[in-house]
Amino acid sequence: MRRFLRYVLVLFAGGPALLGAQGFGIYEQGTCAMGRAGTGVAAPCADGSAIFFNPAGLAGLKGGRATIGVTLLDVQGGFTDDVSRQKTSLDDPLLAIPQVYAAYGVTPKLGVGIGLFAPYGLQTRWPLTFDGRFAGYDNILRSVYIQPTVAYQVTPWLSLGGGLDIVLGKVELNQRLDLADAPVPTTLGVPAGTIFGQFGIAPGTDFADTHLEASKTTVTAHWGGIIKINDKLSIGGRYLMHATFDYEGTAQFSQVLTNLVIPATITVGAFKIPAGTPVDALLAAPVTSGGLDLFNTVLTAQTVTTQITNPEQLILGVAYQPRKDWTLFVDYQFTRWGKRFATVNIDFANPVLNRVLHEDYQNTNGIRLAAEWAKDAKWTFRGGYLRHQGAAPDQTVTPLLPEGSRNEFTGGFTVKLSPGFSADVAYQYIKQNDRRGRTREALFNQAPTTLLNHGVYDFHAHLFGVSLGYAF
Amino acid sequence: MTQRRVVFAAGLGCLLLVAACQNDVLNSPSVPSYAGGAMFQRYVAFGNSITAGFQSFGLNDSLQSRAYPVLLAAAMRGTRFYYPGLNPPGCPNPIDSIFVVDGNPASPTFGKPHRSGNTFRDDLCALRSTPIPPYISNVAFPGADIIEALNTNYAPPQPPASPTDAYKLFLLGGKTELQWARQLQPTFVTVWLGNNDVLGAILDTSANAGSAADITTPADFTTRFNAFMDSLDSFGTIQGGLLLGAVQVTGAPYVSRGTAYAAAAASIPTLTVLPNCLAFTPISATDTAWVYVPFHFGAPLVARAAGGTPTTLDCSDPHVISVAETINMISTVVQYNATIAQAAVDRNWAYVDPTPILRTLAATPGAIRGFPAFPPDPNSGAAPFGTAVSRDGVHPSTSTQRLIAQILRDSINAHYNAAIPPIP
Repeated sequence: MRRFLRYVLVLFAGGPALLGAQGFGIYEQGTCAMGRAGTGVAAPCADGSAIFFNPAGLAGLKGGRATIGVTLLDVQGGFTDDVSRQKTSLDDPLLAIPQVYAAYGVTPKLGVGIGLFAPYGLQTRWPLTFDGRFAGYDNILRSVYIQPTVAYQVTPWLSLGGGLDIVLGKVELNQRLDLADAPVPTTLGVPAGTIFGQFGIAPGTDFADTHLEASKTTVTAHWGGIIKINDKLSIGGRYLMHATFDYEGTAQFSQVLTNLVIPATITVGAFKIPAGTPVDALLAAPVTSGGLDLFNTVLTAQTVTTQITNPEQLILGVAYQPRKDWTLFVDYQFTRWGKRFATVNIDFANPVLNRVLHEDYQNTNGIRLAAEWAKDAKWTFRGGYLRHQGAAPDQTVTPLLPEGSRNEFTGGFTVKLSPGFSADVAYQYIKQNDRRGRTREALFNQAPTTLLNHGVYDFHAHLFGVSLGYAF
Repeated sequence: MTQRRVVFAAGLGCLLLVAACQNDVLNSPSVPSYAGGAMFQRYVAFGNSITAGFQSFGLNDSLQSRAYPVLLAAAMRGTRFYYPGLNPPGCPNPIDSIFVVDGNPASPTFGKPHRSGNTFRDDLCALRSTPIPPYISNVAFPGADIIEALNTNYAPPQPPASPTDAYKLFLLGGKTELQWARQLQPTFVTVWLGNNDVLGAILDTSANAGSAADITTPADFTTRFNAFMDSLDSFGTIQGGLLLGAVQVTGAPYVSRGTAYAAAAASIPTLTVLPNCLAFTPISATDTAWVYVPFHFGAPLVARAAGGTPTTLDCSDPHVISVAETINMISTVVQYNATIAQAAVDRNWAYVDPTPILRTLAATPGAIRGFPAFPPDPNSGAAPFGTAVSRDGVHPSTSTQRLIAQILRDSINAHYNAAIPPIP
């Protein structure tokens, strides 16, 4: 079991991508629910995914449910520069997000379960030719929630459930450093704030590669309730609390050759750089040899800390059965980005390198609509639509997360393969509205404005989900 | 009931479809709206000091903003036209008076003219202004000859080191003009190269003025220029262009005919000009090759004579450009221009020969003033070489930069049947 758990965690670790819900939220946590456009807080799917979609849904469970599934993601998108009209495409491979849920009805009123899901995460991978590589070319933010859950049917019309979430967080940022933006050491006698770009170094001159990696485990909670108004109508709600990660990790730097040569002898303060000097040697050579020794002084392996908070989610929904074989769902989602994702301080042991990412995310609202038709005891079909706002404000659409408002269309079905086994298949198409954005952070940790935007991000994705459930 | 459901479903579907297609207003730069405007969406200017805006042997943001490509781009109204702006007072500071020179023999700047910022130093650089633009549209740099515009990463062969090499760093950051331009994927280009392939012969302060060694041979120029044009062709985005011919550099007032010194000698009793300074050879019905005296050689002689020291100008001195050397320079430029014009023809691009412009200016009173000028002009301090030329005697003044922009705009409109608006 431990080996299995480890395997599952590894799968999750490779999973999150730029998709799903608002901000860096991910909502594709079950194949059945995916076909329903993620609705079901008032009536979760009977595959154990209620652990995520509403813990109260485990109450009244008869017997046990175990579900294992996977969602395949074909993510496509890119950035088109205003001026050159050149498009750089995302380099994300076909990704797989697994789901595992196990639930058991201990009594007719008491249900328990455990689930692994990742409601927040992102992975954006860009080619190294992309100008956004200086903001981050391979960025991973993952939060794996392990949630033991208990639910109880308080009355025939009210069920409550909750879980304690052990959240394994990891953040990884790979970026290039642009010599044009790098400050010239004041030891050369230049005024503070002078950058190499003022010596003519072209924007887009890679001189170092940075790898930041940190992980942290934290704890949060998740609860929900379902009120069954009558046999046809039920309403539900769930609340996933925020999770704060005080990350501490390491930053590593390696030199990237510019292959530039100083074309003429120049004098900088008391520092004379002879014509023909390779820029790379100038940056790396020891001070005693006339270099700046950057990779042994400033850009050394060091501790890096940051704090990132996964925001609260509040979901309210209604499920209505106009006919015995039809169910309609409407869910509303609120995610509290505004309070939780405003500024990200990345603090290095050497404060010269400290970075401030001004994200200024906004609270988001989303609406989900779905319908489900139980054709017979064997087949159930479903489809849905959802729309949600983008969390990122206009000045924060960046290579790290070029997200925006989205329209998503879903469809799927469940087929009973045998009295114990059932299979779910779902498809989801995500179309994000094209959005203006930028590829760079503002210099010197200044707050960005939309004036930095210089192109358009586009994004769409095809998601294919399949899962196998077992009732026992 | 069934019909109502169908209508409801259809209505919902339409609503969703509309919602799905409701993209943000993106405000991407638009194509210039005048006739033929699409060609001028992304303009890149190749060239050397004139194209960069260099004046009075100095360069700063103020001068750069008055360069003809910047003016032309403003008229074109395409994508934002960036140049690599240099902080004031400059890199180096422009000369503000050629008649005020450092007279201290112990000074490292002894004999050098006064520059803005109250200095005689010509090795100061106030660095680039910030923010650094994301790309450069005016990729020209002072000192660029055809091989420097062509070569990548400064591979051999390279011309000898020059003070203007610093611009390869301060303006282009060690990249070539072609590398910068390729980044922008231009739709239209202007190219003005070739001047520096012959200009070195008149600026050569060694005892070698006018020497063929300072001049790129026409054969080499043709090979390199054609290679440069091939590189432009490889961009695959250029819809049109304009090529400018090289300037007949002997028309620059930095060099003066020996006859001008002979005329000055009439007003300066202590100045003797030998008869060999009057030599000339007619080379066509309208052109004559003269003996030319570079300013850096002639001006100190005049100053010394004016100070009362008997001084003789002997035009057999190797600092003076002989008639034969003049003929070689003129002939070389003619051959350069044949190459450049042919490259334009091959691509059906526009071509502008600057020689008629120079002739028009030379015929305009006060536009180009030779040295030494007698009687002295009270305005000569502000425009010692005339209103058309900056205080270095070589580079166009602001008014001439504007004139060039207007001529180029008219030529482009005529050649491409376009309607670029007037220079603002």
